[in-house]
Amino acid sequence: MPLVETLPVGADTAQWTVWGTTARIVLTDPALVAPAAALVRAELDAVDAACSRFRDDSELSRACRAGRARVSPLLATLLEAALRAAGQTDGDVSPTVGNAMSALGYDRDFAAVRERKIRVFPSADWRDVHLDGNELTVPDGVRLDLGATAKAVAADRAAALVADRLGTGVLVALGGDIATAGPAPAGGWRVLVQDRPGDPRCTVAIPAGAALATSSTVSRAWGDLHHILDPRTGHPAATGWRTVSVVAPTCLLANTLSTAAIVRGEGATRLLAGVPSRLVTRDRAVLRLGGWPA
Amino acid sequence: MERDTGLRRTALLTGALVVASVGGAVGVGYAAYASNPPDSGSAASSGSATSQGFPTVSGTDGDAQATSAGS
Repeated sequence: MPLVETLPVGADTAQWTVWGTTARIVLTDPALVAPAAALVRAELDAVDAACSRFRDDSELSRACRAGRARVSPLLATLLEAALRAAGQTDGDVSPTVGNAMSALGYDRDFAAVRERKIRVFPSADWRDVHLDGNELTVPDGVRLDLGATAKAVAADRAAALVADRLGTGVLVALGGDIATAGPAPAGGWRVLVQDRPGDPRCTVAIPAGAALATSSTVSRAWGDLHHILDPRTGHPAATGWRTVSVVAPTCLLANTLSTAAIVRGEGATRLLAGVPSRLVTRDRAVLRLGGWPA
Repeated sequence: MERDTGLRRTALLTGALVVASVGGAVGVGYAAYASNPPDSGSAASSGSATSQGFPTVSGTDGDAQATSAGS
């Protein structure tokens, strides 16, 4: 199961369910919780309408069916982020896994996923997807899945929106993806990092503007499968990592790194050398890199 | 090797410079754990890793304001 937030909801906090996980905002100015929540909800609704692969009427679904389309500025931003992540990771984090994800049974909101007969095949090459300005071209039959990056982008955008419009410090958490903007509380934003109940945990403080993302092979898992695919095989990544958390200047970069680390398996420590990160092995041993505190 | 290099190049461009060289191993360690364990300092990283451009993370005893878990 994805994150179910158990922390208390104080006067400075709003929380609700979205995309099969928990959305939570925390403000430095509690008086602005209501308008901030409205801004974040509207932003998440816009992202959902733009790129949900669970909705036949999303702009992304329609564009993939058409193969070629002029897309909205928001979808172009989300696509550009996904393609950039693919380029940064040499395809470890790819938006072309839509068909593979569906073949594995993850083709609807996670709560409705059921085991089914599995047919697995490698994903299309992300370099065959072209975005020229707002003109998107998708190879025949390819379904794009921006799930690996869109939630992180949404967190970054929502945090920036609240800070800019309302002039308050804000933390936006969408499941494991956390973005902050504006001033931080004294001592920084405090985040509990723990994947599942019973897993190793720690609480860290991150400074104003920092982001933290966690990728996991045990959340959004069904049967023997999990939702982080190796695009080269179409299978869930065969990895020794249970959970990877990364702190970075943006949630998009943090999520790109944490997801790529899962896919790379043993290569993750080289990838994350110098990057504040925390990796948990399948037997729950903890590895800290880049100055992650003990 | 090429994938690591590509990612670091992008980090540079975004202002998130990863300084560690490809061969620069970071001291690592493993923490012992119990049934619902806080990370403990039994074998933390060496602390020698540089992370210019990335935010500094610190430990805190304060109450958490949000949770980061797999999602």
